[in-house]
Parts: sequence; C-alpha cells; structure tokens
Amino acid sequence: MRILVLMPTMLAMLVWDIPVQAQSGDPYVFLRNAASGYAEVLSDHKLEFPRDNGAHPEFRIEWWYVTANLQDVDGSHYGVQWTLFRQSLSPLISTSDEQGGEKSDWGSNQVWLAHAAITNEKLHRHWQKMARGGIGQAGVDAQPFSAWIDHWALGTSLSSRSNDLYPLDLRFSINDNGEYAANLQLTAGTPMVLNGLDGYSQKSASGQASYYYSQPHLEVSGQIVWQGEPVMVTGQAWLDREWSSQPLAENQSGWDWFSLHLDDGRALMLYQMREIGDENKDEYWVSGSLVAKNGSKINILQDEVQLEVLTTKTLDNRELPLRWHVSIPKYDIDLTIEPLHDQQFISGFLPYWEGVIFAFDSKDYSLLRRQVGRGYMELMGYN
Amino acid sequence: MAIILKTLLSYHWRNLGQSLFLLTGLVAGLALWVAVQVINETAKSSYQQASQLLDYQVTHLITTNLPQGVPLEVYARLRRAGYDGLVPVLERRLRDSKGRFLEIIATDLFALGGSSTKSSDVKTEDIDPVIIGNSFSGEAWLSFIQPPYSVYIPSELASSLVVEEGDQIVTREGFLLPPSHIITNQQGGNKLIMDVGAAMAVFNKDGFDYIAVTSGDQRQLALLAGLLDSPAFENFQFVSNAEALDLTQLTDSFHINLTAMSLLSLAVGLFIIYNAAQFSILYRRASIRTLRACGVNLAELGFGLAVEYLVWVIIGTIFGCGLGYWLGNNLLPSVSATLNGLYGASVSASAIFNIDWLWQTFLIAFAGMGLAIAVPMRSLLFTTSINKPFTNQDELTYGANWQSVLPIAILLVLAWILLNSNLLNQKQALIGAFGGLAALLLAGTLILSKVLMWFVWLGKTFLPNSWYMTRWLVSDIRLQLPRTRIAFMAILLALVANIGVNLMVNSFRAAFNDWIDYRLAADIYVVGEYDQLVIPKNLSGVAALSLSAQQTIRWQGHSISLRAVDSQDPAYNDIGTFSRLVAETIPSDSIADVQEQWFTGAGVFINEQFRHKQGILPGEQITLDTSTGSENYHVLATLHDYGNTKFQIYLPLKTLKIYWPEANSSGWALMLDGTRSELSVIEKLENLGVPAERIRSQSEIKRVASTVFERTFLITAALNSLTLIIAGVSMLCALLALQMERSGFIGNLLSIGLHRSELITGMFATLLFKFTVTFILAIPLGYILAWVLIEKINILSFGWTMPLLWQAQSIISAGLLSGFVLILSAIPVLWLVRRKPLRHWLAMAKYTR
Amino acid sequence: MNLLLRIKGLNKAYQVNGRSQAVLSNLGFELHKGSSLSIKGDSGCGKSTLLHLIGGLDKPDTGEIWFDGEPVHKMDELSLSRLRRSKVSYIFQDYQLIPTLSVRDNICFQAVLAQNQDPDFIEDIVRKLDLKDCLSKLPTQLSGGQQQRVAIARAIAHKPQLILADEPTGNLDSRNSNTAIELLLSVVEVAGSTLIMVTHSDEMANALERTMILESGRLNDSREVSALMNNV
Repeated sequence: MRILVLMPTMLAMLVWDIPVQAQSGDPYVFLRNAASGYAEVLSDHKLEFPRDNGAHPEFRIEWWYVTANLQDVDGSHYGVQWTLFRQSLSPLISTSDEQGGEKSDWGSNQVWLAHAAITNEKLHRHWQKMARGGIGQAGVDAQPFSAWIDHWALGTSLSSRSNDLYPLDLRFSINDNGEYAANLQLTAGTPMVLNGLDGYSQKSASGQASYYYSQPHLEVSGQIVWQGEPVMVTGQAWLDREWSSQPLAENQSGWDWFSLHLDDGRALMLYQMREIGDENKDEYWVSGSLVAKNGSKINILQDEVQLEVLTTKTLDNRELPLRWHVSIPKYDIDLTIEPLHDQQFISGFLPYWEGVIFAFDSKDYSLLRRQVGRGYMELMGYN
Repeated sequence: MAIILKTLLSYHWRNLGQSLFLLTGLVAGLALWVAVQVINETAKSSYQQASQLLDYQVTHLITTNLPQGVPLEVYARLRRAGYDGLVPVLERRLRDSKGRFLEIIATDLFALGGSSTKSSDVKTEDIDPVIIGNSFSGEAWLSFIQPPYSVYIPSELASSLVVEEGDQIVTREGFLLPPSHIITNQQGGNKLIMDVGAAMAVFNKDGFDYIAVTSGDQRQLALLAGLLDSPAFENFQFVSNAEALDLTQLTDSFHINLTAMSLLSLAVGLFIIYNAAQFSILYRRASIRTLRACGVNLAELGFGLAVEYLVWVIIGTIFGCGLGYWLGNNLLPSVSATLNGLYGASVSASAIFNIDWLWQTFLIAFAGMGLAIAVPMRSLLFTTSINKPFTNQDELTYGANWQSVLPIAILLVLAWILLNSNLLNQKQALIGAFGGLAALLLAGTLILSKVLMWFVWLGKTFLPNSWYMTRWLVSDIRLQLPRTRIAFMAILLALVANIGVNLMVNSFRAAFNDWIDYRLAADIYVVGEYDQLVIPKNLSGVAALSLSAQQTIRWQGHSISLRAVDSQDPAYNDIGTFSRLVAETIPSDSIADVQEQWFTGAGVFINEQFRHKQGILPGEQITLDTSTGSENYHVLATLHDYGNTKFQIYLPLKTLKIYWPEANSSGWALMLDGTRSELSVIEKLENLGVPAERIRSQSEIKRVASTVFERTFLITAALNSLTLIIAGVSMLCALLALQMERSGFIGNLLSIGLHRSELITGMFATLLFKFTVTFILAIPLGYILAWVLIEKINILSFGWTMPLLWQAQSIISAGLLSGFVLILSAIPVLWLVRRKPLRHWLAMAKYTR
Repeated sequence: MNLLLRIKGLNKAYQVNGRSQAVLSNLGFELHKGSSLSIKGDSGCGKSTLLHLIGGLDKPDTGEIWFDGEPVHKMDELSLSRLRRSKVSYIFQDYQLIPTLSVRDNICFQAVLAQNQDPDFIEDIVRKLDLKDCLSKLPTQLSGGQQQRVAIARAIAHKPQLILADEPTGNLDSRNSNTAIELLLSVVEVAGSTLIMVTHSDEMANALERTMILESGRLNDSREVSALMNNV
C-alpha cells in the first residue's frame, strides 16, 4: 500500500479558490472575487426559517460561527470558537433538492473548512479540518439543524422540542499531544437578530453585501477538556450566520469585527470594513447592531460610532490592532477593548486573529478596573 | 618539511604514469562502490516516497469481502464517529500500450491532507506549492474531481512514458485514463494520482478497495478494531498492513545483490591500491634511505609519507565519487527498467545525491590505503640499520609454516557456519549467506598461494636435474610470489565471480526457458473481460479455447493473487506439461492423481513463494477469505513460478467462480490445431473486433520475458566485467613493481647472455602457469558460489530455486576473458623488457637496492 | 678542545647463517677537527660498517662513539637524525642521489634540511665542481663522474663538521677519480670540515693526512704497520 505525501496546506492550495495567491501572498484575495455567476445578495430578499439555517450553495461563501465566553467554577476565563465555512468552487448550474443543495457525489463543487479553538488565560489552541462536499463527510441540514464536519458538530439538541432550533449542542474534540474537547449546550433567551436591513448587511458604498443574522443572547453550559483535564464551564455565546458571493469590495482589505455581551444586558456587534491603503481611514464602512436584553435590535450607523486603535502589536510579522476605543455616545457606550491575551491568532490556510476580549469603561482609570463586558474580536485581512 | 614533501612527491611528478595507476585503482574501486550506493539509495528513496504518508505509517487497512468494495456510507459513518486519519483508496496496477507498469493511486486528497491539522504553526507564508505546480484555483480541484477528470503524473514519470500535458493514456486492459496533468514536484513519487471519485467512475467501481488507517493513535486503533469486529461491520475486516514492507523486502534482495557486487569490486580495487602503493614505495626505497641518511628523522618522514597518501585519498575520493555518481546515474535507467519489470517497482531514473557518500568513500579509501602501505612503511621506517640493502630473505621463507594455514581453517569454518545457519529474519539470512560467501572466497585466495608453493615444491622435488630452464622458472615462481600474490588473488576473485555468476545465470536461463514453454503452452493469448469480448469456441484453426480469471485477495496481511483456469488449459491439462511445472515436493507417481484432484476442486496449487517464505507444503491446509466467509483449502502441490515475486494460488475456474464471483476474467488461451497459421488466426480475431493490443502470441511473450530476463542480469554482467578489469589493472601494477624490483636481476640475466625472447617467454610462461593454477582453483570455488547463489540467496531473495546446471561453456568463457585481461596486463611489462636497453636495467637496479 | 671524534672499544657483529661474525672488534681511535683520515682494508673487512656507525646509520653492539663531546652511541633516533642533518654528511660509492630531483635540488637538499644554506658558498662549490651546466638535469642524465661530483656538492653544501666518504671514486676511472679527489679535498678545506674517507687506492689515501688500516676488526695506524712491516 503506498500513498503519496501531501502537506495538508499544499492540498488546500489546490482546492481553496485562490487564483493569484502564490504570487501576491495574500490569502484573502478570494473574498474579493467578483460574484459573477453566483447568486447575488438582494436588499429586498426575505430570510425564511428554518430554511435559511441551512446552506446556500448558490452563494460563494458561507459560515456558521459560534464564539463563547466561559468561566469555570473558580472564575477562570475561557473562550471557545467554532466555525464551519462552506465554499462553492463554481456557480451551480442548477440547484438540487438534495441535502444542503449539493449533489451527493464525489464531483461536488462544495468544499468545507472548520476551525475550532479553545483559549485559556495564558494559552490558545486551535485546529482545522477540511472536507470535500457531496460525500456526507461534512454538511449542514436546516431541519433539524445540524452543521458537521467529521465528528465536529453544532446541531439542535435531541432534547429540543420539535421544530425548535434551540438548544444547540456544540461538540468537538481533538487529540493534540493531549485531549482537547468541548461539549456545550447553547440556549437562546431571545429571538434571532437580522442584522442590517432585515438581514441584508451592506459592506461598502459600492453595494457589497451579505445576508447576516445573529443570535447574540446565548447561555452556555457544559464541559471543556483542556489537555485531558475536564473543566465545567458556564457563560455566554454568540452565533453568527452569514453568506455572500463577494464579502469584500475590490478596494477593501478586510474587516475588524466585535461582539460584546455588556453587563447591562445589551449585546453589541460592530464591524469596520477597512480599505486597501491608509488614505480613507476615517471613511471606512462601519456598521453594527445593538441588541437589547429583550432581543430588540437597533442598527448602529456609521456616523454614530467611533473606533480608534489604541495599541498595535506585531505578531508573526503582522501589525495587529489589539486594543481599541469604541465610542457610541448616542447609546452611552464608551469602552476600552482589550484581549484576554495577545496570542489568539488562527494560523493556517485562512489566517485571522480571533480571540476573547474584555470591555472596560474608558473613563475607568483605576488599577482594579471592572469589566463591563466580554466578547470576541475578529481581525481579518491583516497580512 | 617542504623539501621532504617535495622530494617524496617528485617521484609522482616524474613517474606520472605509475602514479596514475595508483589513482586508477583507487578511483575504479571506489567508483563502483559509489555507483551501487547511488543506485541503491535512489531506489530506496523512491520506495520511501511511495510509501510515506505524512507523519504516519499506514499500519492498518479496513477491507471488505463485498464485491462492490468498501461503500462510501461506511467511510462517512466512521469519519462522523470521530475516527481520524481514515483515507479511502483505490489502487490499480495496469500496463500502458508498451507494456510498462502504471501504478495508479486514487484517494481523497482532502481526507489525506485536510483532517485534523495539529495546532501549530502553518503560516501562510510557509505554504509551498509543491505538488500541484502553479495552478491554484478551485478550477484545478474541479477538473480533478469532475468529468473528464485529470490524472496527475510526476514530470519524470511523464517523460519516461512520453506523455504530455493533456494526453490520455490507453491501458492494455482497455481503460482510457483521463487527461494527464504533469506535476512538477517529485513528492508524487512515480505514481499516477487520481481522485478516488474519478477512479471509481473510470474503473466502474461503486466502492473503494480499502480504507487506509493513517492515525497512529493506539487508543483509536484499538477502538476501531473493536468496532469493526462487531456484527454491524461483519463484512469488513480490520487488518494490519504487511504489504507496506513487501516491496522493500522484495527489492532488498536485488539491492543486496548489487551491494555484494560492489563490495567485491571494492575489494579488488583495494588490491590495486595495495599493489600500486607497494610499487611506489619500492621505487623510492633507496631515496627514502638517502633521506634518512641526510638527516630526515622518522617523524618527518612518516609525516611526509602520510601527507602524500592523504592527498591520494582525497583525490581518489573526489574522483571516485564523481565517476561513481556518473556511472550510477547512467546505470539507473537500466536498473529502473529492470525493477519495474521484475517487481513492478517504480524507481526514479535520475539519481539522488547523498553527501554522506563523500566521507564514507573517504574512510574506505583511507582504510584501504592505510592497509596497503602499513606493512612496507613499517619495514622501511623502523629498521635499525638504515643503509642496509633490502633483501627478500624474509619472504623467501614464505608459505612454509602452519601459522599461515590457521587463518584458512578459521575462514572455512566460518563460511560453513554462516551458510548453514538458520537465521530467522530474511535480511539477516541473506547477509549471513553473503558473509559466508565472503569468508569462503577469502579462504580461497589464501589457499591460492599455498597451492602455488606446493607446485613449486613439486617441481623442485620431481623435475629432472637436466631440465635447467624449467627448474629455474619453477623456482622463480617462488621469488615472484611476494610481489604478485595479491594481484592473483584479485584475479581469482574476479574469476570466481565470473564463473559463479555465469553458471547461475545459465542455469536460470535454462530453467526459465523450459518453464515458460510449459507455462505458456497455448499459442495465442487474448487479454480481456469475457463480457466485453466474445470469442467463438469453433473459431477456425483453433483446437481448444481455455478461459482464465484472477482475483486479488488478502491473506495474513499480504496481497495474494488467485489464478484460475478451466479444464482446457494445456499447462494443467496435459500431464506431461503439468509435471514439469510441479516443484519436486510430491512423488512423481502421484502427480496424475494430484492433477485430477485439482480439477475436481479438491484442493489448490501454490507457488514456491508460499513454500519458501511461509513454509507451507503440500498436504497442509490454507485458509482463504471468500465472499461467503473463510474457507479451508487443501494444498495439493507447489508449482514453479519463475519471475513471480508474489504469492500466487492456482485454482480451477469453477472454484473461483463459486467463492469469488466478483473475480475479473483475465482472458483466453487459444491452442491452434495447425490448419491455419498463427498470423491468420490473429487476423481473424481482429476481424471479430478483438483489439490488436489485447492479442499476444506465445512467441511474443517469450521474447518479452527473455528480454526482461537478460536485462535483469545485464547490470550484474557489467559489474562482473568491471571487476575483472580492475583485477587486470591490479595485475599490471604488480608486474610493474616486480620488474622494477628485479631490474638488476633482469640486467644480470641479459648480461650473461640470455636472449630477450627467452626471458620474455620465461616470464610469460610463469605468468600463464600461475594463471592456470588460479583458474583451476576458481572452478570449484565458482561452482560453490553458484550453488550458494541458487540454493541460498535466490530462495531468500526471490522465493524460488532451480537446478544448478554444469556448463563447461560458462567456465571456459570466464577463463578466456580473464586470460585475455591477464595478457593485456602483462603486455606493458613484456614490452618494457623487450625494448629497454640493458643499461636501463642496470641503472634501475641501484634505485631499488 | 680540538677533538672531533673519539671512538673507544667499538664492537659490531652480524648474523650470517645463524652464526655471529664479528666485523669490528674493540676498535678505537681519535680524530681532530680539520684533519683528514683515510681508512684502508680488504674487501669485507668492515670499512663501510665503521662509517655507518660513526654517522649513526647503524648502532654498535658495544663501545663508545663521541662526536664533538656528544655520545653518538647513546643518541635516540631524533638526535641521530639531527646529527646527520647538520653535522655529518655522506658521500656514497653509488652516489645515492635522488633520481626525481634535479641536480640543483639534490645539491641544496641537505643544506635546506640543515637550514644552513649559503647561496654564495653553494655557487662557489658548483663552480669548482664544474656543475653549472648540469643544474637543471636529472641524475639519470649525468655521467658517473658528474653524479659523483653532485654527491660531493650535496655533502659539502651545508659545511658539515664531518664528511664520511665511502669509496667515493670506486665507480670512476683514474682520471675522474683524481679530479674528484682533488675537488673533494679543496672544497673540504674551504668548508673547514673534517674528512674520513674509505678507499682501496693508495694514491687516494696518500692525499690525506693520515691513513689507518682496518684488519681483524681493528684499526691500526699505517705508519705503525709499515714500521712493523719494515722491522720484520
């Protein structure tokens, strides 16, 4: 029996649609590819559930995203991230009625990538899985909801009442010189939030957009395993669902995204779409959602929010803005954002910084300043 | 110090020719060793590439007895259950239109590379486009997995198959492979790579051949083993993969054979070094004494000589490595073709380079030179009387005492032990056999001197006193011996190798040709599936039509082949033919019974691999996995199967059809009745729609088989000849040294009136006499070598054996070739004696006093 | 002190066919610096052996050899080679030139070893010995006489304290012999060396200050011998 040698990332190079990556060294260029042939995000489209919990293979890229801020019985902080990405390598000629809209065969144009990460107060571990579509190894079912790749899965719990999406079970495990795992149950207290205009989330002045909804108020309980040691945890989580055929405009380099659970019960989501070059720093597209305790949402408009980088650090030859000042005076939000620790970079084929953050009152200069919120920050496109 | 070095080195400058001999011997011996290292290591690197899989070995396979192969659902289920490192695989071993083996590996590249990357540091910048060249787009993947698909071919393999981008290979089995995409990186090994989904479509399969388990996690392996043992997986087996080792084991033998040849060449090369070093010291004996008389102390002299020899070693290493690399690189395509033909192994046709060879070669040269100069240096440097002339006094007592017999006795005992030991491990046994051979040959070389001295004694004792010249010549042999015995040992070794290998090859050739005649008893063979081609039974010119089929199954971790024929096949049908195929493990009077039993399905035949490698004999049982479960089969007989290095079982067709209904048909064998010519029958078949590339005539197959056979031994023959040449060079050095040392003596003989022609005749006669004795001694040694090669090494290497045939022609041709080389080596010296004036001999004398 | 060489009670024997044969027997003599001594005797009487012992090419069985106050008989190999390098030099009967070095290199050879090259002196020697035209040739390209002159030049070039000449003209005809001896004596004088020469020839012997005769393993002064002979 002889099987050839392939480095996993080389293989990924073959597959993940990155035409000029070798030359430019920019792994994000595929996010800017024009949507020709793929379905377009339309402002007047109505999202329907539970159908839209599932996959949309007519769109180029899609993800199911969970981030969780957790604490153990001693109050130590943990973060868990789990993301399933789907990509269509070619526009579908016709949609199929089959699972997830894919043809269940070896020639499927769908490819799947998953990231899982566990962070504690000092360390950050992350893992990656990839699978081709069409063979059942990875996929998403809308009803009952299940998103999986091998044995990593996010899905409606068996204990859920019929047709309810929640509670969700998140399970993944890995043996990486020791066992790591997460077995968490996520319960929603409020309805889902359609970001932007009923889920139509514009990303640039030229019209790039995605369909984007979130579930910000998730209560989490369960167990994580860190190097073979089980830890019971509780906390809050955030689920993001987004799909598009061109998430970035041609002149955009990436985004900075924040999700926060504030102690006053509100949840805040903000993102800033950065442009290539520094000239238009003050005119980056910024948008967000502020979700009340009861689940009602307010759109944050560009001129209502100020995002300011306080500290930039160099990690792996990347300049990353890790401390921020977020100010939304209209809603009495004036926060300093800091990461749990700096080294929360997800390296690999699609690299980005994603990590646990804490929010502090900007005017609180005391030594023992109090956290007023916690969440996750994502810095995408820093090269 | 500089003046001392200048003096020592001035010899080489003034006698460039002689110095070049030293270099030639050194370089030649080292070059052959390096050439074989190049071949062996390139091959091993190719095998390793082919069997490597990330950080893991493929320790286990999940196989099935389901006819459609392992279904996708099982694979998906196992992956969703959390079993990491599972990879679906489909393999095919096909032949292109020219008969070259194509190994196709089809898998899911995603599964191979994409599962559970460990959490570290794969940075984007580190991504190196290795296997796929520069086409990075989803398009590349889609063209790989969607019709018309792609087959990736490493560039080297593509050039050897003469395949260009976009070409589609048509195989002999009738498959049209997808368009070729040439990949630049060698990590693809020498295999064609396809997507498993594409392969299933092209080869019309619904499932995989097996799932490879690449994870080394012991806990997971144990869980998987338990799971597959459960009733839910009753049609699946969790087996350990022994076959990963098979290719290495098989080819190990070939490579060990090559290594043995190279060591022989190296030994002979060292003989040259010894002689040439001796010669250079001899020539400078007087100068060295002068140096000492002028006040050069031992340390300085020793240092100077050491530096000089170190320079030789370094030059020899560089040139030896360079020449060896060149030689190895040029022999590699031939070796590659041979290994492909013999084992289906894929070996890169361009050589790798290993920096280790430089220092290894250096060490060998250093050791060799050290050995060569140690004794003469010692006698030259450590003498209390510096200016005393050197005499052969000590050497004249040579050969008389029992202490010189002791090493011979020890070596013979050692040889006997090694050749008769029962070492369990195949590799150990093989090395032991070669070790025994080496001891035997070394004993032989030591015996040679004794035998020659014995002849001298005979002559001295029994020759009549009036035979002055003859008595003088015979006694002169004794005086020549110290200077020439090493060279004659080299000639002996080369002769023994030539004779032994000639005998083995000729025996093999005879057995092989014989066997082919019986094994391929039909006149025409058609390859193909029954349901794709139809050949009518009553075809004009055809006396009988026989069907055959085959199936590959796994048995005790090995892949074995089941071959089935129907009752019309002449190889098994005709008792006379059949009895020739049977290896001598059953009594000849029960062969007919056995044949009948076989046709009724009462048992199976096995090939010699089973017998030699697994110890299974007729009368025993063998358990095989069938589509209905495990079945026991009675072993009726062992059959010869030359050239087949894998396990094979022979069954009647109906047995195969019952127990392995999914078996592929192999084709037809047609026996002609003589009313039509072979060509016309072939034309008829083509008219019936049988593709020409599927039709083989017996003569064509025999021709191809013979070509492979001859090519296999081409390399050995080449190395043999080179060894002989090296021995010849060694002899030349020795003779030059001898004539130099005896210059005064030659001068005296000529002075007292001996004619040059008489002197030359005498010298030639003693040389010829010594050669004759060497040749006669080489014959039994060569025979023993052939016997060991056939009865021990062949079995260990290939798993089968054959009768050793005594062929005078092999021996005579080896003798003539060696004799020719000897004469060539003697010509320069005889020429010198003929041409150089008397004063030259007298003048030379004082420099070697 | 003026004494260069003092030999006392020297014994040397060789093994021949298992029997010990004495060559030198309780031999002793003294030699002053700057003097010249010829040693005569029958063939095989041990003249060459004596020279070898003096120059450290061989070791005595018993006895003492003092060279300029140093005990040669006790010297180790390193000291002996130093002795031969700078203080003692040889002229062999068969010249023993290095065949692969040019004449120039042969001449300078020992001087280079002794690190005592005097280019003017060497040039003078070369001129006196008429070797100017041969400097680039190899020894095998020279006549016997020329080779002997080269051997002399080599021995002298570093101005050794003692020159040991073993039948230096043994292979030459009488004319060349005379020339060679004249040259030898003249350059020895120029170099200020002491000379011991083994010879058969009375004529050669008479050219030196003193002659001794080696017989029965002992060395006798020739004047004493002739006196003895005359008194018989």
